[in-house]
Amino acid sequence: MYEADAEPAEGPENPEAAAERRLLEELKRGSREAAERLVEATYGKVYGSLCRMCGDPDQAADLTQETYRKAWQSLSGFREASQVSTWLYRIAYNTFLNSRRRPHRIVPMEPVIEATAVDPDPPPDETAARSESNARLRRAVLALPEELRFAVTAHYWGDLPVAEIARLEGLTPPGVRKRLARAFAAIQAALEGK
Amino acid sequence: MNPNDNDRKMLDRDLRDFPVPPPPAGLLEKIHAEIPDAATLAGKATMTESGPRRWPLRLAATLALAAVGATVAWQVVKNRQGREFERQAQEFKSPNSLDGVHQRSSALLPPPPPPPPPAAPKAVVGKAEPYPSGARATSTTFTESFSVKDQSAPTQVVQPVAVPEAIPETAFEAATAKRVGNEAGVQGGVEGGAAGGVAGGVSGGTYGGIVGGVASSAPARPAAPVSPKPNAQGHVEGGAVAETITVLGKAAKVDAKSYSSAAAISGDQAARLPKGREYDAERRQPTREDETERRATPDMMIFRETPAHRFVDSAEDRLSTFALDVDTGSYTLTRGYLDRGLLPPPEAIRVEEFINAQSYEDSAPAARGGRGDFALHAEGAPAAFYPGERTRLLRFAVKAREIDVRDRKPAVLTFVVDVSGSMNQENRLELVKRALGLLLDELGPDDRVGLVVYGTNGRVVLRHTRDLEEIRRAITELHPEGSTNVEEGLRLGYDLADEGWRQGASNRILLCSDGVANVGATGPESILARIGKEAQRGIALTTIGFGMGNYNDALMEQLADQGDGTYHYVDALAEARKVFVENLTGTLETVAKEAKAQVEFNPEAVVRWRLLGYENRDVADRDFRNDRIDAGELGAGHQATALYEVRLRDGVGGGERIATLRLRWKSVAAKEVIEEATELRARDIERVWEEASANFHQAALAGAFAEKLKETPAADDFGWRSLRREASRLAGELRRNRSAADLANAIDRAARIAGVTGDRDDRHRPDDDDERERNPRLDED
Repeated sequence: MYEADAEPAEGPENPEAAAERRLLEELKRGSREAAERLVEATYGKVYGSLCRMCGDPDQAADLTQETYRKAWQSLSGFREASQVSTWLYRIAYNTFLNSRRRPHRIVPMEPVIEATAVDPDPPPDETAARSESNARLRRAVLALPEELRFAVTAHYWGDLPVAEIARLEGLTPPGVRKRLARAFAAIQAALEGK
Repeated sequence: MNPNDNDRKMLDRDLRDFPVPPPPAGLLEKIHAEIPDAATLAGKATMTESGPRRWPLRLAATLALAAVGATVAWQVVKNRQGREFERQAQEFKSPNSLDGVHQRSSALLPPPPPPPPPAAPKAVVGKAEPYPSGARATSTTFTESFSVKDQSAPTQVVQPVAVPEAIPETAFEAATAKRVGNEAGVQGGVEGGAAGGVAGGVSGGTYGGIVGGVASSAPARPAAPVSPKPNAQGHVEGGAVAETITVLGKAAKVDAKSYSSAAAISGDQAARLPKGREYDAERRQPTREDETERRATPDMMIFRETPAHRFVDSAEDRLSTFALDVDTGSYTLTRGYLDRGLLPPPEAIRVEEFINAQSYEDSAPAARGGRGDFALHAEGAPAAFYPGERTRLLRFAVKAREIDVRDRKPAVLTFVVDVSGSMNQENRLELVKRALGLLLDELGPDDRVGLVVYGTNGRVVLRHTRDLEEIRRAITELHPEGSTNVEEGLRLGYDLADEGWRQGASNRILLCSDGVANVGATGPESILARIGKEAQRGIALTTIGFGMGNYNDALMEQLADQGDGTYHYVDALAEARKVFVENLTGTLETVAKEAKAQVEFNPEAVVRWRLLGYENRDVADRDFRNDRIDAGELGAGHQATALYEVRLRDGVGGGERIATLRLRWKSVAAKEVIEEATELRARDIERVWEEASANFHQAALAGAFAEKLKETPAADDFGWRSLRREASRLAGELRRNRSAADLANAIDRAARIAGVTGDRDDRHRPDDDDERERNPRLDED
């Protein structure tokens, strides 16, 4: 389901990119219909990445809405060089970080129900174990230093190709891979430390 | 295969297969419903049809609600203040374990701030480089159009209006001004998009709305000098400084009140409120209702946000002009937040106030008439925080002449003290009494003091007298009473100050308040006009802010701006001592009025430049020598520092001129306008950070800290750890500089709150540096 919504990573010349560019042009002319198409094509992916980051479907839905609100605001500032999915991911990521960072929004509630984020098929005990390990993994990822965290979440949870992350971060693709490797080491250290 | 690789593969798989449920039903529809109108999508300013016609009604309704809501809201805020605040602060102290922390507020937040202003024909649109070079390219353009659109009410008919040229607000990071709210979504948001030159005679007026959005657009003003007495945001160069006033509120009722005070002080702002409770109720599950009430953050702070300056291409615009500013409230207020275990909201940060809150050891000029009002300093070095081989940080500092306490002019002071109910919280009034007590200790037999208080009504407690003991007794006996009528308090204060006015003395009103203000019957414009008029006649207004939890930073700053005085925030008696004892002559005696600085960059040497802070102090380049423009006031011994991040061209060196600093001010002593200049040459720029002066290090550190808290795009380039390391090094080096120690302490606390503890990740640092060397953003020209 998630994968189905994902847009393929493509170079600038392929037909999807051209379609994306046309969509953007329509959007910037103020086409509501184009905006709806954009949402339909991307919201699953945006929601998915937010859900993986915050671990709570309800909050992810809220943050998804906020992401699009911000997106409309910043549409005129959208860099043509960037893929739409990259641009949206960046907004979603910042939205998530802001929601986490700002004390005013942080309100303790009942523990997050990890089970909702898990495939319903496995037997219950396995579900619980997986949900626990997923929660630990998420904590480890979110505890990474910012530059590593961005690389990991963008690559794995935002499905951004390494080349796009490199462009966003002002790095070379090997630089991104280096970061991912460092992130892996840090995540493993954190998981083993528990 | 070694086990490590195997682990990696598993981790790779786990990350890739991290589960994700399908999006909830209805999400798509919700997002669709929030798609804005065509004009907003296309990035044009918009105006709701209902706005212009209905705004008087809405404004009236808002004001009415404000009055009703205020009393109730205070009660609520007061009751919940202490314990809840503490608890939340505690809980926030472990930000890395937030999985157990549920956040629900974002969807309930009011819609984001106004969309980017429309594009100027000449400016670069749609290219959102991190620091778009076109941002200030057409600096002769003013815009007064703005758009505030309630996206939660998509059915509203919105139609585009003709808009004047403006500078595009390109970088989406900057365009998405942050909103800070609390869980309930009953946060009040008063946002105004105001652009350059809006202050002063504004034709748009104030539009308010309680339910649904109201947007307004003031007619275009042709590119012309700003009005004679604009307020701070009135002289915005190049337009496009979209401002946001943020009210961090508790309940819709509170919002209405905050709104009225915010709108009160900014008649030039379009303002609107989110749907508050109604909006809230639509979205939230009913079971959460009472929970929310219990948990709501007691914060109701009002700030005005201005997006950070971006890089300007020096080939397109070599001039940077701004009014000097020596306020420090933003820094002290931040300290107040940190004391409570919270990071301040980004909109509370004014970078220049962080920089200017430090004490530097720049030499003061020798007193030799007006010519000696200021000493100018300029230096540069590679900055520790801003990467790039040819990136330099430049520091321009001016230091006003010092006046010995014995030589200071007699003062005629009028204390205007807020004794409203809100001052009862946190012993605010007690702090005011003790602070004023410190000031009284410093005054002498030639000084006179009068006292006005205001609660529901204002009253003159004591006419100006030399009997300081009498004043002291009167102050001791103050007690909180009633609601807040700052307008009447100030009016009475000015009446009293007029009465006691003395030629040759330092005539000044000291307003002590939490800034939480309702609006008197006559409306806010009249009191602002009065403040401006009295300032021109020589009665300055210094504002001293007290209180956390509900505090109106925007009001206090703006009043001081308008009143040609300074704005301080007193979080503790130590700060009061700094303002009233250590810096008494600076606080009481103005050396220079309407002080403006202009830095001219040499395009042959500088590729691009970026001013840190001073966002709401912009002055149009051509107005630098327009002496009717309201600018900054500096007291004795005050210093103001401006930092620029610049990118040098290849091969710049030797005696090549980098930049020229010009300073222009009305000298109080010489009674004339004076302009001085100093040049910064390539050889004055140190080759390495370590060789720069301690002053430079301290200013750079304070600026970078502020940028980190403000979350400017530049702050992505450095981490809390590097800030903390540098801070502790500097505090060690400057053992006798209390401000350096204080800064180090603040940075350390902020870093902890941000979740950075220890130095365990420092082993990654060298790698990062390698990566940055290859950073194409920094290497491209």
